[in-house]
Amino acid sequence: MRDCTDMGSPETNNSQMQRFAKLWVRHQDAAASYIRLFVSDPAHAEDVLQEVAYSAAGSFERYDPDRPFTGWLITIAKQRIVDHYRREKKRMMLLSGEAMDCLAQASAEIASPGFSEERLKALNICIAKLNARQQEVLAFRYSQAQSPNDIAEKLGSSTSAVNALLYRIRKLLHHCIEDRIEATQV
Amino acid sequence: MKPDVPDNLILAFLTGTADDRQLDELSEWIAASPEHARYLSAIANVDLVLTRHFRQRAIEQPADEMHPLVENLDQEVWQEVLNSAAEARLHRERQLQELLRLEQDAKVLPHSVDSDSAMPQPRRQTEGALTWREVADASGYLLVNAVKSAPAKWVAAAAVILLAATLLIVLNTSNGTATDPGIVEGTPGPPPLESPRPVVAKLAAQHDARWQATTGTTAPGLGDGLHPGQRLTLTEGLAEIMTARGTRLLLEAPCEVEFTEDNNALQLVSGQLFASVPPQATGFTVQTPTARIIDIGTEFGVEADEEGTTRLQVYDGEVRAAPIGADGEVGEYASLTTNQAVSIQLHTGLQADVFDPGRHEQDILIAGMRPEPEECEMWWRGDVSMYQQTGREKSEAIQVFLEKPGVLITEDLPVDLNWPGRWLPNKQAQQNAVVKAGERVDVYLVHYDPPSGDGFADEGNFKLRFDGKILGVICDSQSLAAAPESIRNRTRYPELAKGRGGPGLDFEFGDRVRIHPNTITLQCELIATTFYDQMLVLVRSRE
Repeated sequence: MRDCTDMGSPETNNSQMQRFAKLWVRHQDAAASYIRLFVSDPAHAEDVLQEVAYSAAGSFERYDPDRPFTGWLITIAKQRIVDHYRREKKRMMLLSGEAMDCLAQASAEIASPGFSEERLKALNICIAKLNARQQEVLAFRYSQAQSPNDIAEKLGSSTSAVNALLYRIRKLLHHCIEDRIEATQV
Repeated sequence: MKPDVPDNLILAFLTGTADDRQLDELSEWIAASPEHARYLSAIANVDLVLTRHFRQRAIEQPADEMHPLVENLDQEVWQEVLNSAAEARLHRERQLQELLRLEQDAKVLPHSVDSDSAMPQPRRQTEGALTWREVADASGYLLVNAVKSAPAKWVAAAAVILLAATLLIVLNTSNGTATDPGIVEGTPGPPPLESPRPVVAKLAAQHDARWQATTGTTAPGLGDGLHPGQRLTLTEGLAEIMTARGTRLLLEAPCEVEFTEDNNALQLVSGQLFASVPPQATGFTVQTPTARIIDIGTEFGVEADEEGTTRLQVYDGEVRAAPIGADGEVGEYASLTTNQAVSIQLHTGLQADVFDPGRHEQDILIAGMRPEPEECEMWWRGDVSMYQQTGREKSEAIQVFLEKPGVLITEDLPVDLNWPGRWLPNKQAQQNAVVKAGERVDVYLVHYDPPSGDGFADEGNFKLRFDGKILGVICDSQSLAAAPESIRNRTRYPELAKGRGGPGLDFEFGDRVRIHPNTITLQCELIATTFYDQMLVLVRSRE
């Protein structure tokens, strides 16, 4: 078994790391959701999330436990997203500071502990309601990690049409998930 | 309440194509209401859970859910596929898992066991022989799951599995479970007696049909008139009967029917039939030993078994059904409408049954004689088993034309698919197939038109049965363009197609075409978006 130093992780004492691990497991989805707003490629988004984990673990001693952990994570995520765009030499979609704050807060709410699991359960059912084409486009994107450009080639379509289709599917799934969760709560 | 959403702005933002003005507008919208920010975050969260959903499917391909086919394959090959897929999928998480290992009971991946129960089951487990669809699905499933952004060995392994699947089908069907070359089609009985009796129906088509000739009965030939009192026993194959009033009956062996004086009625002694009743034949009646069924303008399937149970399913329209008692007295009628089913027994009477769309397949037999072939030689037009989600009850989505009959193939002709086969537009399973020189073929054009063209809901699922072996199907536009003029007729395309730029094919991802192991059935699952789908089907001529 490798230890953390193999991965360049900072030295932390055992109890601190346990505390971080607990918090991370409960709140990582807030950061993950926030990252998805700005990083559309799932693999890249996961890379950024890992970088957030490293940074957060490395600087955990500086975390003020009186403040929300998700807010702290998302602050780190913002920096790592900017780093990602620099690396990729791409133009970042910059929103106003107020809008960014609103999204940070919303991400923390939407991805509260356990919420993604609940959404994942609902998603399993909602995906089954999509038509074959929609399901297979999703499989292309999320299972085979193909870019919208690659999918467009397969479909004989345009990248923008595939992006529109993927967005439309996500909207459908979102409404379906919300409806199911609402029904469960009722 | 759902917020009013600026989809174009969000789409531009999420795909990284928004300009400064759009970003400003979107910023304003987000800041205007917490609901707006919440909506956008939820869309991003869907992206996250989608990634997890598909990862879960890839990693959690457990051994106990293996398809029976897979269990018979080389375990090393299978294990390699599994290992490679799992390894790659886990790669990104591994370091983080190590980091979190201190928390022994931490759930690093949100893969709850509970969610398994909510997962749609990709296929059912079978105990007996695999159907073609199951094998095809299994191989397709493996391909989808194995061919990622992947090392070549996955692809190779998946190809081995696909090959094995195909081989299994060939072995299964050559075992005599499909077409047996020993069968003599339409075995003639004694020559039909000249009869003054009226003709109440005609034998319009048959495939691999064997008729049992018993005392007082004759085996019909294609186009023969059928008379009151005539009893037909179909022991093998399929037959289509057209009544004098235009009702189309598809009989599937074993089936025994008897015609009556009434040219709008039929006795189903045993077996099953599918009836499509045109408006002029409303009132068409099928009587079984235990039930009387009166059509009110519809399509229905009925079967009568040896034990006296009649099962009725209504596919479209309305049917009235009543039990017949032991004394022959007809009981009270019940009304059934679309997608309803009943079973009727001698003693228990009429009971609601579960509607099973697969019980009487709404196959179309493209074959033989038709009473009045249309001018353009359109063989069949109509709607077949459209998915419910289309919300459309009737259409003319499927049209079949006889392009050219009896064409002699002079050189080996490349086709996209021949038997046994499954064609996908992404060509993962496409075969390099040919129709051999020297074959004489009837060429049919199958045309599927999108009813609404909105791009998302126009799915058609239908089967066509031909009266001869399907030698090849051309689905791809390039193959069609390369095909010789001898098998094509460019003038006989539907008007609608002409208006959209003339003949052409628009098969795309999501479409599937299969030739069943029985060699005469073509099953299509088509998704038409903004254009139509067309294919040419080459069927061995019956000469």
